[in-house]
This record gives sequence, C-alpha cells and structure tokens, in this order.
Amino acid sequence: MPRFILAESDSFDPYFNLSFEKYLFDNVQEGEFVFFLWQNERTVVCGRNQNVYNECNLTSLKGLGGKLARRDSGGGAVFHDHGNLNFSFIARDDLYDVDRQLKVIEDAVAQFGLPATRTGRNDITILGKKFSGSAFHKAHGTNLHHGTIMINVDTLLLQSVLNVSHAKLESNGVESVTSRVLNLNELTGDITVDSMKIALKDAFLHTFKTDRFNDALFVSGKSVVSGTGRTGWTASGSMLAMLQALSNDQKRFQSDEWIYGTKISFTNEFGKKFDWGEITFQFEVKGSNITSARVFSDSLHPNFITRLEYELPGRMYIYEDLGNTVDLVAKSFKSNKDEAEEIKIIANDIKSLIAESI
Amino acid sequence: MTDYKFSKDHAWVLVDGDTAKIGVTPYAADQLGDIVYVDLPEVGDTLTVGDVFTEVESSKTSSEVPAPVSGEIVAVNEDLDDEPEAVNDDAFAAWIIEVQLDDASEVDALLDKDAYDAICE
Repeated sequence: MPRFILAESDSFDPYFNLSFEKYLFDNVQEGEFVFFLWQNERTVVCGRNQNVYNECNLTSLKGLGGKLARRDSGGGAVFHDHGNLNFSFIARDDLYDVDRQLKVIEDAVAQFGLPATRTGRNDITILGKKFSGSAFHKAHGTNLHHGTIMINVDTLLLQSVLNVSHAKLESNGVESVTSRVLNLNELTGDITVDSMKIALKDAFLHTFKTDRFNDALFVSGKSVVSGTGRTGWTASGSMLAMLQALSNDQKRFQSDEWIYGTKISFTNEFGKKFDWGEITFQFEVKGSNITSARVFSDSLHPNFITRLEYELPGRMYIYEDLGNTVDLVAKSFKSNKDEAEEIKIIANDIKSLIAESI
Repeated sequence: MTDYKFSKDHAWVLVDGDTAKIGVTPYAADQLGDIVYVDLPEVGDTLTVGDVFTEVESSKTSSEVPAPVSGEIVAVNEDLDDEPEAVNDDAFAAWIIEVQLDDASEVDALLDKDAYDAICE
C-alpha cells in the first residue's frame, strides 16, 4: 500500500515554495506519493526554457510589486496571485500517473457541479476556457506534475503582466501558448481557495482509493511540522539538513542567474524619438548578460552616447543595472554645467525608454 | 548500428577515436513526444558519469539526461538551438554533445543494442 503524504505551505513566497517543492521532489521514495498545495503572492512563473523578457512585461510586474520566478518544469509562463491555487503531484516512476492525477482536479471541480474537460496540452477547461494548466519535470526516476487552478485571479493584472510585445526581440527558447482563461469563482460563488483545497483533498483520497493521508507536512515559514513525525523526510540528516537544503535551493530560485537564464541568447532592438533627437539601442544578450550593445543617436552629445555604448556590455539586461549605467555615465559629464543639464534630461528620457522596453 | 552503445537512461554513445558523440535514443524521443527545447551545456565543461549533461523539454515534460561516460565536452550541436525537433526526426543523427573520453573502458561497460532494446520492452 503506497504512503500518501499531504504537504501544505502557508508561505506566499514563490522562491520558498519552489524550494520546498524541490525538497519534496528530491526526497520522495518509491512507494510514496506526495500531494502538495500552495499559493504565491503576485508572481509570474516562467517555464524552464523560456526567455523571460519575451514572456513577462517586467515593467508592469515591477509596478505592481510582483515577483518573477522560473520553475524546473517546462511549458509556458503563468501568473499567480492569492486567487490562484497550485497543486503538485510528486512520485517516482512506480506510482506516477498523469491521467489519474488530472482526474483528481476534475473530480474536485465536479464536487461543485461543474463539468470539466481535458484538452490536448493537459489543460483543464470549462466551456472551452482554461482554468487549470499543468507542467512536468522528470529527473533520476522522480516525476513532478504541477499546475494552477484559477479561482479568482485578477485577470486584468494577468493580462497586463503576460502581454508582451517586443517587435524586434529574436530569441530561441520555448514560447507560451496563449489561452482564454476562466476563474471558477465566476461559475459558482461556492468555490473559494479554502473550499477548493477541501475538495481537492477529498478528490485525491477518492481517486487514489484510500481513506486518509499517511502523513501531513505543514510548512510555515522556517518550520516544518510532520503530522505523524515520519522520520523519512528528516532521517538523512535532521530538520537542520532539510532547512539547509531548502535554503540552498531558495538561493538558486532567487538568483538572477536562474531567473533570467544563463543559456538563452537573444537580440533586441528598441528606440524612440525625443525633443533632443532620436536614439536606438541594439542588444545581444546571453542569459541576462549583455554581450554586445550598439547605440545610435543624432543627439548633440555624441560623447555621452559613445561612453554609454562602451559601458553597456557586461551589465545585466535588467532595468536597474541599465538605469544605473546611464546615471553613472551621465554623472561623469559635470565639468560644463549647461552640458550636464542637457545630458541629465537625455539620461532621464533614456531611462524611461529602457523601463518601457525591457 | 552495431557501433552505438546505450545507457539505461536512454542516451546513445558513438565513439570515434578518443572522442564520442552522445545523444538521446529514438525510444526516449518517442516517449518524450514533440521536443521543443534541448538545453545545451558549455564546451569545456567536464562530465562524470551520471552528471546531467542536457535537459530535454517536450510537450509532455522536461527531462534530465545523465552522462553515460566521463570526459570534457569538446563540442555541442548548436543546430538544436534552432531545430530541437531534429531529435524526433532522427535521434541518431541529432547528436547533442561530443566529449573527449576520460576512460574508454566506460564505453565497454555500456549496453549493446540488443541489451538496450530489452530494457525498452
């Protein structure tokens, strides 16, 4: 008889939750099946091999205080907020069964009288609109199937952060497939995150033909409580070893190298006409590092433009780093007061152009 | 075909002198479904048997592939950046990395075609 382990997190920190999921993934044994329920604060989570610049409107996301994360599984970019519930099914090859796992989600929704349909890409839809999407990851005989359930997600925010139009961005990597989405809460007010959690646990037990979970892990900030004091999750060392593993993975999930990607190369070009002249940037980026930059402008301060172009390679292709670079170069022109004033105006315009273009 | 060797983790190895090309098997490609991205390592990286040398993303999953042999990566197939589906089209032609072999006896320890086919049944 398999051991069914329920895990829940009351943290809304996407990096912590992804780390905890990774910990479950790394430690699940044959004969065990983990069901993990979790939520994030406002976050765009990109797939393993996506170009985040292509998938997420970083300016919008930053504007509403949202976070950017990248997961280990493939697939497209999604938006999480408190109206979205995430599920993870984690098992080794012996118990892993995507069909059965998707059935848990369908059964949970059916408890509210809603007929759900599966579509080809492992999406679950009602009336042709997607409310749940899944993504998958496999390593050393362990499998992760995780996904979203939209209950009352702020769809205006979703659109503002996932709609990206970079006319001239050319990149490899995996592109998202846009779907028409639906909040379950629109169909029946009975569905809340809490009632859906209850329905999911119930549907899980029913689908896996068992009457209870053998263990429950509750994760709250830095403490992890095991309902039955199961030794397996901590036996390899101790609670301390587990927290250490979590902390290491959290560092990875939070790092710019992981989030912006170290291997995906792309080129982008953007420009704008201002009162002082026109300016065009051309970037070649690998991961998040600018490997080459060209700046073209008919401004009356060509030395500023040249210095800027010279300073850009090696910087990170994110607004903060580019903005700082622009400021740094602008501040070096201070001997002539009039010139310094004009360059300050140009620098501010360039910074807003960068903010709206990345 | 007799020259190809296989790991139980579904990688193939083809030795040429003291280097070897490595890819994933047609069986693995079929299991994965439509491949949309092949994550290439860096030339110059060194691998020990069991290290993950690539992660292949398909419409179904993203899957890590452990290295079947040890050595330094001397080339990666950058064509796969633009055409990852080549692995589905012809998995034996779509090599992923080429390594300078540390220890040729690691290749002898791999499976031959019959033994590999047997574990795929």
